[in-house]
Amino acid sequence: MTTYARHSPSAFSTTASTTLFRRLTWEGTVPLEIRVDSKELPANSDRGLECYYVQAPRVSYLPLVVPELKRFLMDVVFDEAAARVVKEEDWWFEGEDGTTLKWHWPIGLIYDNYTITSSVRSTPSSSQTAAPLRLVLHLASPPTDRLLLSPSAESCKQAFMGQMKEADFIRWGNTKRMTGLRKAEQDGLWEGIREHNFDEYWRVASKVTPTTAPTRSQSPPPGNSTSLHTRPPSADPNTGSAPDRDGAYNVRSVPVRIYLPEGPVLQDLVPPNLDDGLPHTLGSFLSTHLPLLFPPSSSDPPFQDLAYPLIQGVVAPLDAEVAWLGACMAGADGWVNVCIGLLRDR
Amino acid sequence: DEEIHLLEAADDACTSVIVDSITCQQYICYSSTFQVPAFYFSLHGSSGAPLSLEIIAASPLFYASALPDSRRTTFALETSDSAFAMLSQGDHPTLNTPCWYLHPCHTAEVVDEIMREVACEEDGHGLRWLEAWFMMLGNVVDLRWGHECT
Repeated sequence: MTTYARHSPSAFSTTASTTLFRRLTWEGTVPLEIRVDSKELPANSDRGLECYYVQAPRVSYLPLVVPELKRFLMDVVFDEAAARVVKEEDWWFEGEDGTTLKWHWPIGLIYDNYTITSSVRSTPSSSQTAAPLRLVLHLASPPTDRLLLSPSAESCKQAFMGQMKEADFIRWGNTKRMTGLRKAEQDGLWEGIREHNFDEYWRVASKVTPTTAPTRSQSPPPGNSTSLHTRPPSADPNTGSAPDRDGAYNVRSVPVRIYLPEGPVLQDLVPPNLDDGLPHTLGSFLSTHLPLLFPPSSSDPPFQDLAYPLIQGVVAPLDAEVAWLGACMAGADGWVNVCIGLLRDR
Repeated sequence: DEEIHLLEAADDACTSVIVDSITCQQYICYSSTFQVPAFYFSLHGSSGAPLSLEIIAASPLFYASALPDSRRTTFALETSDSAFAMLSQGDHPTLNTPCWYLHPCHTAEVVDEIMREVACEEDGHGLRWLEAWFMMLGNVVDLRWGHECT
């Protein structure tokens, strides 16, 4: 495979690196420690064994973890009488701090959101390793003033498809790419998530997700990038090659949301390039929307790092290009979720 | 942030279903994705429990003709002519509470069509646009519901 070494701002724009980052994002997992609320454990259940540990994919959803959780509880915790009255539609999850977890959020987002919320509360752990997210599972009476209704896998799928279409709309001003998929293909996206199968998901997603690489006929099989010949990225204005119609730098806006600790979710237009023609960076975007946390220049106060952006559990560099993030580090639903954490006084 | 908390209407016995009083909260929120106003609402029965989509769709809040042949699931109300569900669940953009909302994906085209019929001067444009938006909304939602009972 020939890789052009370029002095373009988009250093990572080969097919292989796009696939690499997509795979890294896909394979990301977070540790969950789930225990049933002790007050709700059925009378005859085996206490002491009621804690379930799972390394859950970031791109998955809580309703998709429920089946294996249920199997575990049936085997180990519930007796026959209890098992008969179990109703998963009434199950809901609570964080250690009492927050109700949204079942329609990707698990990675739930985890990162918890990380940044912890960053504003009591002394955060200085440990580098990821602490398990401790969840309490309730078996009944979901708080309908805080949760959407009917958290089944099917509802989750519909919520997911809605997000995919919205992302499509943000990028192109229409949803033709999503609606152009056959029903079986659309279902394939969700099946890929349900079965956590990278190839199955990307077989379809590659048709709707912008890429940073010029050749877009197919997403290469992982590890087999030698089969493709790469050309210079079409984002480079000097090449004179035909603009890549579906390229990440040609979208009108990148689907991005900003999550503040215990705060609202911010969303605004995120053009891939700025008026001066240079790629829009994460730092520039954050300076525009959160100038007090991310001052536009080093000559502005507060002259020290106050906050950091967390994307897929990684502290993202401020010079990352938003178009690239949209192509390589979005969640499975197409959205780049940026969680803003605060740095404590050192 | 263009959220307007419109009204809270407690409505006695205007529906013949199991609930004897209904609380309806209605909001206008700005949709960042579609860059138009969107209508959000919640409907609760007397016990405080949110009403199901089936009851919502049958309630006086919606004109029966406005909800055509549609596929109702636990999560949303879908129609065959749109990529997006017509009526869907979602978090209120600023309150973060669970709501239903009328999907704003077709708002711009519908309102623009209305605006083309209306002649107006430059500086009245924004207000006229909102009026047209309310007209469009008023064809789907009975905005007077709850008021005539008081």
